[in-house]
Amino acid sequence: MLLPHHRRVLTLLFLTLVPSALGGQAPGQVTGHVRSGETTQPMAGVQIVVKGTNIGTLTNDAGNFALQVPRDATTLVFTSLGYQTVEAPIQPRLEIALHQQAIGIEGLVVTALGLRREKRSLGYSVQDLKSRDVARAPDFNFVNDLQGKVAGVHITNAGPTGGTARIVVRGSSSLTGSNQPLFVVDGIPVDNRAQGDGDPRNYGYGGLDYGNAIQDLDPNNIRSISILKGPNAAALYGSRAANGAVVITTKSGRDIDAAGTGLTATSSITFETPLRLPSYQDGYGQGSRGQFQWVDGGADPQGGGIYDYIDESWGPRMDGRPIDQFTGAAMPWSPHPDNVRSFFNTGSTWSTNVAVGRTNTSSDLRLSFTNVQLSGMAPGERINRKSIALKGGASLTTRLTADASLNYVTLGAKNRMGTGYEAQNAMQGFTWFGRQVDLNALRHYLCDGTEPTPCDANGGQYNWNYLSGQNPFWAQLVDTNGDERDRVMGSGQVSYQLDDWITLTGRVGRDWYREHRKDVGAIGSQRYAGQGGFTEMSRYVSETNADVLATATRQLSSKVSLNVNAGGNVRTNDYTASGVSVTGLIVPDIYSVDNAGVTPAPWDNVAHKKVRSLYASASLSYGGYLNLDVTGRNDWSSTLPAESWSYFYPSVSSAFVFTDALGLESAILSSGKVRASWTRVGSDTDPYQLTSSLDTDVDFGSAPLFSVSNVLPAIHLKPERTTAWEVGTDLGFLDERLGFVLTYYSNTTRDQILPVQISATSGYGSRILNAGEVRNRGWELLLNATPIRHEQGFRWDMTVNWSRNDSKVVDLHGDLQTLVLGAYWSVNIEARKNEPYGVMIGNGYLRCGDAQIAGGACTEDQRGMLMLDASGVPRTDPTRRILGNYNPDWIGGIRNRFSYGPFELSVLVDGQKGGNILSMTRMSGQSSGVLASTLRGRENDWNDPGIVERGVLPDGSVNGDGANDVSVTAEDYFRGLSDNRESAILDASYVKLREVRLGYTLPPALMRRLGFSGGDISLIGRNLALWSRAENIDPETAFDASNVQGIECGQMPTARSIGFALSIRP
Amino acid sequence: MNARTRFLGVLSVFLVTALCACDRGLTEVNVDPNAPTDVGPEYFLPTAITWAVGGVHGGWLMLNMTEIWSQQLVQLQYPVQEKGDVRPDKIQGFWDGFYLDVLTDIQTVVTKGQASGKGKIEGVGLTWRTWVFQQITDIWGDVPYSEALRASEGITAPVYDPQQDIYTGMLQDLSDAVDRLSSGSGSFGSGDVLYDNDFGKWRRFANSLRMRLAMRLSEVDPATARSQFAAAYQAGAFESNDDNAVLRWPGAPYRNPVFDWCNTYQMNGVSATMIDTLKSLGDPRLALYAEPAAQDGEYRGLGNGIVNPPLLLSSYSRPGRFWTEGATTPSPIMTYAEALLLEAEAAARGWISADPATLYEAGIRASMHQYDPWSPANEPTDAEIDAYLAEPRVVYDAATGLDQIHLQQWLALYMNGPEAWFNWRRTDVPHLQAGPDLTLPRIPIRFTYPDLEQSLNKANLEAAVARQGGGLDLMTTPVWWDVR
Repeated sequence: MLLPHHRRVLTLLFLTLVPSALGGQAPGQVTGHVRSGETTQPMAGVQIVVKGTNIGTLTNDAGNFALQVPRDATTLVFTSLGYQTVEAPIQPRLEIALHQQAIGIEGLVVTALGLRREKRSLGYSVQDLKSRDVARAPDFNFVNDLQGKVAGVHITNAGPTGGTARIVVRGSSSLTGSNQPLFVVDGIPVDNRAQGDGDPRNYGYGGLDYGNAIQDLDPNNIRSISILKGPNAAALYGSRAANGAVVITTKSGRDIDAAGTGLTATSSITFETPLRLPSYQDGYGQGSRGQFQWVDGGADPQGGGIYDYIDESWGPRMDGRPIDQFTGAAMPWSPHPDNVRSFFNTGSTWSTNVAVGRTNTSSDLRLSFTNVQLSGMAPGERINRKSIALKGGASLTTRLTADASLNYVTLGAKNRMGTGYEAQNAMQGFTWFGRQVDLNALRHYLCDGTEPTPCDANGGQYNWNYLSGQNPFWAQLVDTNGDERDRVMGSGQVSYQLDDWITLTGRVGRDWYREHRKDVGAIGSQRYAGQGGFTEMSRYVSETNADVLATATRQLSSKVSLNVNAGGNVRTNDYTASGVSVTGLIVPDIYSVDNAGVTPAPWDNVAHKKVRSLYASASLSYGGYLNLDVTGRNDWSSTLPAESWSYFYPSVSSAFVFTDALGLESAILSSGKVRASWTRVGSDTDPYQLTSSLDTDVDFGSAPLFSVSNVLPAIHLKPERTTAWEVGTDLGFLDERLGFVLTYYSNTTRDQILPVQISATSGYGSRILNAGEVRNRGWELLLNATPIRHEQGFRWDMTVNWSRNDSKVVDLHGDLQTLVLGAYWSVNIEARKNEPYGVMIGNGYLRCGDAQIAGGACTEDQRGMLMLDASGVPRTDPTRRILGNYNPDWIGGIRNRFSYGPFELSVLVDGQKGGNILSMTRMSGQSSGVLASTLRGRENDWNDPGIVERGVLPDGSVNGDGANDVSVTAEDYFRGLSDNRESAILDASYVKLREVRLGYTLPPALMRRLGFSGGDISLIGRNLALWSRAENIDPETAFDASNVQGIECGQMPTARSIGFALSIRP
Repeated sequence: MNARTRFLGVLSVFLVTALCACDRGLTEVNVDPNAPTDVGPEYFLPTAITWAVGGVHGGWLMLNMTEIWSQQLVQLQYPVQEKGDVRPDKIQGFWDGFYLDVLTDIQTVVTKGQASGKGKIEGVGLTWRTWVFQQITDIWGDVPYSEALRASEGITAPVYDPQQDIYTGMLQDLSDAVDRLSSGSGSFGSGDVLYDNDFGKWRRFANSLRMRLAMRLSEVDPATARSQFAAAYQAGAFESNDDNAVLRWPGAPYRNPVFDWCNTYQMNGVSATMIDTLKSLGDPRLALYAEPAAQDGEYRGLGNGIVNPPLLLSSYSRPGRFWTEGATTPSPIMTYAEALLLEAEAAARGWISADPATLYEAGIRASMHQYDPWSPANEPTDAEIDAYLAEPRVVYDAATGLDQIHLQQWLALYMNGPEAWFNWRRTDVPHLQAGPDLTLPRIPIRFTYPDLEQSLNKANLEAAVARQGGGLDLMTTPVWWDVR
């Protein structure tokens, strides 16, 4: 990409392009100063151009400029990335204030290849965010900071701090590949693979969530983010950007607010508590049929008491009666309403950033250091991330500039909480639990002989139940895990101005990290059959990109200008991983291969990929109001067969500023643009899809095991194709105080490279081929408004974004009706022909329908009623059907920002309408009787009054009409629903108070007295409130980073985060 | 053309050349370095054996289904299968496990044996493939057989063969296998985890398996059953417990799945049917098969098909410690005892000329001594066995001989749930009562087909369902040989 310095070169270039424009006219001199309208600090690098010409200059570090202008010139245009463009009548001396603003079509945005473009010239939609939009109340994972702020961008979070945030732009289109956009930092694509266990994707069924890789990026270093939404915007980045691109520009020395040498120090601390926990019942404790007596908690050998092996809450009413418990004989049987909340600590996130910068006329440098210390809500959970960023540029000669940036990130984490359905996830354990259990008694988790009841004979874990499940504190603090990651993202580029009109740039960038993880289970743990064990893995991931780019600009006539970029890229991806698992230890607590009680199972995996590309783009501008862009790219990918590894993809887009062209500008309509674009993007696949390697397993005794793969490899593969178009308009009203950006888009992905399922009886479960067509169409609306604006006084800015996406699986392959994306707990997430991508298939309630009426089981007036079994429990429909789909109907966000003098208040509310989620918390928690909803039917006692469900009994009579009603106990009722997935599918609509920030700029006078040049302080809060129809959980949840979404299992509660930040400039 | 333009021209040519994606390099990049694409048959055989036994003798198919429905074990907690309910993903898992994980590997052994002309490789492959197909067809009935495993020939939706044809094919395969094993060459190195390259044992296993298959047809096609049985018997079946086809688990990570299951979920008890049968005849296998209830030291089984959880888990017997604490306890695939009791039945039916009473007694003794090499605690002593054989209701009586033999088959097949369930379906001995909470009209006698076949192999599946269950795919539909 072009760094600020480069811009200077380009601008200088502009100046020399049309010397004829200056000919014969005595120039006049304009001098001036540009400052920030918000901070009043001088602004360096602001581009100043004489309107209608290419004559211009840049401000220096003190914000000053001097420019020779033609005599007939009347207006100067001031532009800076992320600021509202200002036009000022020429005077000998100008004082200009630039305001940060996103309204309207004026201003610069960063687009593909890092090219800065005038918004007005773009024929496709790009939405940009500024540093202050993401870095002022940052989440540990900055991707979460995009939530609710960008139209068409849907983010879901897997839960635990430091865990995965999944981002999808304009819906999912790939059936089995990634649907996440490409991340590009300072022109270099960076890795954002999910950091799950072994698998390239996360594994929501259980295991640890290590988060997605882009979270390594320090939000303090972000200057701006451009989200290029469709493949239109990203055709030049290659196939990975078919799902859109998130183009990030980091701060340089010029972003230090003071001139010359500047320093900024920012520190924030926030405190995290659970936003929402399930609603548990406090009426009944452990047991079954109202009875319970603890003897050994179901331990082996079984000498147990009454139902003491039952780890559910269908026991006696908690009225204080004496009952034998794990805490001792005849203890009062009483509720502990906080017994889950008290498991969690108040977490804290302490982030400190120090940045220094230095600029002069020929160079700039910025060095930033950030330390984030996170103490999670789960016991013992700690994450520490340190990052150093160094970025600099220099003009070496008048023609030669060089820029480089280096980011080093080191992350260490321990005691991450387990996810999904497994013993390491305490929240999952709490869905199958004795509600009388005093969790504080379990803080003593290691048996030392002082326990009131005998500990597990096998191994030192003190627990409330020994049949299944772990003491949650043991799971968190004894069966520990730890991981470290070191990452370097670096790039360097050299630009040489070959001639007045052409510049050559060469750039090399590399994103490299190594990672190590270890996850242990102690002897006596439920894991590893009590024998102790561990898994350990290391991996090295890198991507290297080398680019050359030629940029040429020609003014073809007074009205027509042409800009051409042409270049090539070589990309290399390398992945090396190895690990070992040990499933039995000799001596406790030594987690080393040398201490393995059984033969360790080692594994390794390598993957290499190379893509070579040539690309070009041309931009033709007429009169500054009509723009036509054409791009083309050809890739050669190592992953495809030789006859089809070369593929070309073109795009064309156009923008027309009709207010300028037709002179329609008025007091009401201040700017207007229409745009349209079309593109087709090709895509390759993962390495090694063309041959089939054998699977292996650990040696059986001395016999090595090899097995034929279940996937029949492809013989002829061709690239995938995504075809997309969009049309839209950008309108500005009332002197740009109100702006609309409206877009309609359509993306269709065909010839997807995917494993198509075939009958397992053929010997293979799937074969890889080109198949499938998925279409996404939708609307995006962005509304910016400044309802109130008093110069130096009160100001109210509002941004609203809204988008809806309709997806449809148009075709799969031949007669194939469905593709199973994932199957969990007997619910399939499928891409089913003629349905939206991501429908949920499973067994639901059996209702009176045509078949039952025809069969005589129901009458016509019973249509739609539940069918019950003889005991009065709803029957489960044996035929599987669509129970829901995980796509929201629409998503949106409203951000209001109020400023008055030194105060600024920013409030973000966002949400989604529609979409479904399968809640295993509800499923398990109802079956086991721990949720408040299971008090139904046992309001008086465990079997009193019982549940009379309305429905049709096997004899054809209607239950619940008062005559001969059948009543069932809550225990039998809810257990009877345990295979009914419809009973656990919820509406995922929600509204969240996402972000609140109250900032105060410290008085300059006070700061100066203290020896500082400036500073501000703010109160920040994230995830402050949640409204949803779904109970017990936060419906905004990702199962993992894969395409299997819409499932929740023992989710880690979302963190409500409140704290403050202080920023000072010495 | 000025110097700068020339420079630009040269540079462009250089860049295009440097970046142009000439073929060189890209193909090499995509060669998978992670695993070989081909190895010898000795590496596929152990996979096919261990994965198949792990599934057939595993926690789900055996402990929670076939052992339950043959009423050898009972589910004390979460008695879902006691109701006759089976989750569709489990059925899909068994199906995929057989066809994807096991059959492709054993088919590779057969193919490689044929291609290399090594008869012993092919013979072992045919024998094991037959054992696997026998499990599949006895579970589901009509299944893909003749067109199965031929995706690379373009057959991605194989036809379902009638079970009768599958049995014909399997019996022929075993006959061929014995031929190859008798004369051919070849060895599996360390890969023969069943018999360590003792091909005489493989041959006797093939003949014993052929007797099992032949006997399966006793009610539906007695003529074929008789001729096939006699041929197999003549060719030489198991001669001692030393010939037993048992998988010796080496220990972690390959533990007996029964141990793994019982160690993780202590949910299985011994069925009242099994305990009461053993007790009533004074069977010395009681102490081996079951543990006394922890609460009072009594052997007490829980009845099958009861949904409400027991008040005191400790008042019921668990499976014997030989299994619940035995990570290396072997899984019996087919044993000498089973072969003897099949021979006793054949003798009683007059298919072979031998004394049924002698074979019957020998079968019982072989069953009692089946685990001798592992010397489990509570294994029956010779004195106990003699006393048992003297018990009047145990002594062979020609009038009730078949029932006695069938009962002993059921007892001997403890912890070989699938075969116990298949054989019970054939014999209806013991006469099992459906529990009160069973949601089906009778104890399951078949699995339904997996869901995915409905979308991936619809026409062939529907033809099979129409042929086999009159259009209904039920767990209560008898398979072809189940006519009793």
